[in-house]
Amino acid sequence: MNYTLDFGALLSNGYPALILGGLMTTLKMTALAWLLAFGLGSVLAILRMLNRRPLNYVIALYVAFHRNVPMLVHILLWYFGVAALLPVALNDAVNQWGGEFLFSMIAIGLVTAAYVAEDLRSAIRAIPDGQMEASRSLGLSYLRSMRKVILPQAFTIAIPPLTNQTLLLFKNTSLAMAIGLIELTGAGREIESATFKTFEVYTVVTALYLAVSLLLMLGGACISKHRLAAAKR
Amino acid sequence: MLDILSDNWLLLLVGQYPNGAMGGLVATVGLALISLALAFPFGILLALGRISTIRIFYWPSTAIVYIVRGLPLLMFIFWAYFFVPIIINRPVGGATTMIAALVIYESAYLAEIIRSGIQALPAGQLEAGRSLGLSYTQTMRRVILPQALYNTLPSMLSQFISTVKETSLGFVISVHELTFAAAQVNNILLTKPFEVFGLLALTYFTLNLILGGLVKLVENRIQIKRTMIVQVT
Amino acid sequence: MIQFKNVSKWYGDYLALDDINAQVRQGEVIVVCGPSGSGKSTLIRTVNRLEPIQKGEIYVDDTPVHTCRSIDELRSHIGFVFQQFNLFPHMSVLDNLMMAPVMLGRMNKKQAQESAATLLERVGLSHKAGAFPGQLSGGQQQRVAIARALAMRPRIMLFDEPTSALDPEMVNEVLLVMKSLAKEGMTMVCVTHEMNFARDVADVVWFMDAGKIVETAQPEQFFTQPASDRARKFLSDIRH
Repeated sequence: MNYTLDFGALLSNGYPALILGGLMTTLKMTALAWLLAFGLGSVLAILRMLNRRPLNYVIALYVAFHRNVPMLVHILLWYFGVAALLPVALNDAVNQWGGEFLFSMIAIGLVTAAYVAEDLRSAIRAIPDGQMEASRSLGLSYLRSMRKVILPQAFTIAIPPLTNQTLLLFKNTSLAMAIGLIELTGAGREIESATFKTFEVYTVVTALYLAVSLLLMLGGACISKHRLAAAKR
Repeated sequence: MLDILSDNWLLLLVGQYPNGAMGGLVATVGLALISLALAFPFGILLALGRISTIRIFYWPSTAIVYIVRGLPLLMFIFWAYFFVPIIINRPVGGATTMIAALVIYESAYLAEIIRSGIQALPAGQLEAGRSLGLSYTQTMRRVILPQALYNTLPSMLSQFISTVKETSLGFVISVHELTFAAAQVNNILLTKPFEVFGLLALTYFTLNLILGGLVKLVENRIQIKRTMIVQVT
Repeated sequence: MIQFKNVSKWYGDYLALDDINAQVRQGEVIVVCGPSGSGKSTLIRTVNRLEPIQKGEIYVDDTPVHTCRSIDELRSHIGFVFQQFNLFPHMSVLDNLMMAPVMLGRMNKKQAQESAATLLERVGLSHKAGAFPGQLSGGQQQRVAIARALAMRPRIMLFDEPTSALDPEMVNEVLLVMKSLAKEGMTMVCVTHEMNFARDVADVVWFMDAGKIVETAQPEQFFTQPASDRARKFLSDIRH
């Protein structure tokens, strides 16, 4: 194997800036998609609890569609498909702003929302019926019981799966490179094709991904421990 | 959309076969099957490593699982693209790269499923095996693993569905699977991206919905068997 | 205070309550007993509409339970104690007691706190005010559950097998609290297997079987000379 490691080659030509720029793009997309995913996911979970047949059907369809179709296909569908349906003026404006970023973010956010809705739903179902009965027996309304008794407990239960979803969301941002967005993986590929220092550049990108993932996992574990400790004290 | 389907169904189903490698939907399912089948023995080994009390088994397997959880699949594919030709000492096609990456990725996820299956069994099972004089390995092979693998069958089938979705990433390295075939159709038609990618999404949707139904069937049969066992005792 | 008129309830095709007619007067202590599946828990749960009924009428102080529009308001005047305690695990003992009175505007925080402190003292658990349910024993949890129900100043207290989920050595501490409540004149309906409790404080015993109230009698009469065969069989079964 005729290969001499040369990390130094990565320090020139603005490559560090490219990598950091890619990382920033990845983090920005993660944050925005996260807000969309958790916001929409919570709304879907709450709407599910209203127990109206037609509404449940629509939500179930949304969840099934977004979970059974690969994330990459969603991105392609939004970037190529939906973009083509938009009126020309709007399409140009979006492309000026950054269509790759916007459509990937929307696609990733919507898919993750489906998973978040399901995780919240199982967490709520995990609370024993007796809790709602006890709260209602005291005279509290359904909504008040949800707010004060059910949802706080459900949230604690939901933290591990929700941490997992956040982690998956972060990893899925790499798919945006398929439509040309220069996020972290994309930046790595650019530098690789320019310098041919594949091993070095991939190592840096891998280290960055692992570092952020580790932080996310630790963050989730911390929050979980804190809430469990608060309930036991 | 129906006319696109009727015009291009052969391309979407088998890619350029017989004028080239197998592609399309058949390749997608084939890649997923091969990858998961190859990942299976590695998954068992990693699971055993994760529950081992012996340091040299525990730390590497835990490290592998954490790296897989922290790194996007796309990066694994690029690493495989780089490493596999070096290891085998000759140039490698996209499909082989894809399988190599998926095998590593899936074995980590299978390992966690199998691990939880093993840990869900009552401790008394291992104790009973050892009390009879069986070694740890023998007890694992004859008592623990058969039960754990049977019990986690639904989860492993769900992992197959995930693998099917992950084959779509082959698109990025020009592997001739379903998503790539759809992109080819789009490049031919050019004016109907929404229909083409919509059709692609519906194909995955239908396929995975059917697979999901199979998973439910298996789950139910296992449940029935479980309750039957309880009634006999 | 409580009136059942021709009350019937089905779970699908299964008849759980069969044409129940009964009443509970103010200050009375009723013990409901019977074999499992007799409908005694179902009956008590219909009073605050945790279980709906398909036929008949139920009145609590002239309010029709079965058609009541503001069921929350009605429930706030009825105290319910569950077999599984159902304390809120994410709140301290004090918060468990204070939450409902404050949320429903019955008391302000200070009044609720004082009321809660008094109740905790009454059930012998003042020292556990800051503890969380997970840190308490079963008997302690049930006493807190009784205090939580009392915090709303109910006119009626309903007990659904309050000691059935407790280890034997903790049954007594809960029964003592219930007895003192009875002695103060609280209107109580208790589903329980504790026959000594029935003998000590009950005014009337309702024996249920297969969804019907088979026998209504004074405790002493019921335990020594039950009128029906089914009651006789039940009593001999539980004595073994």
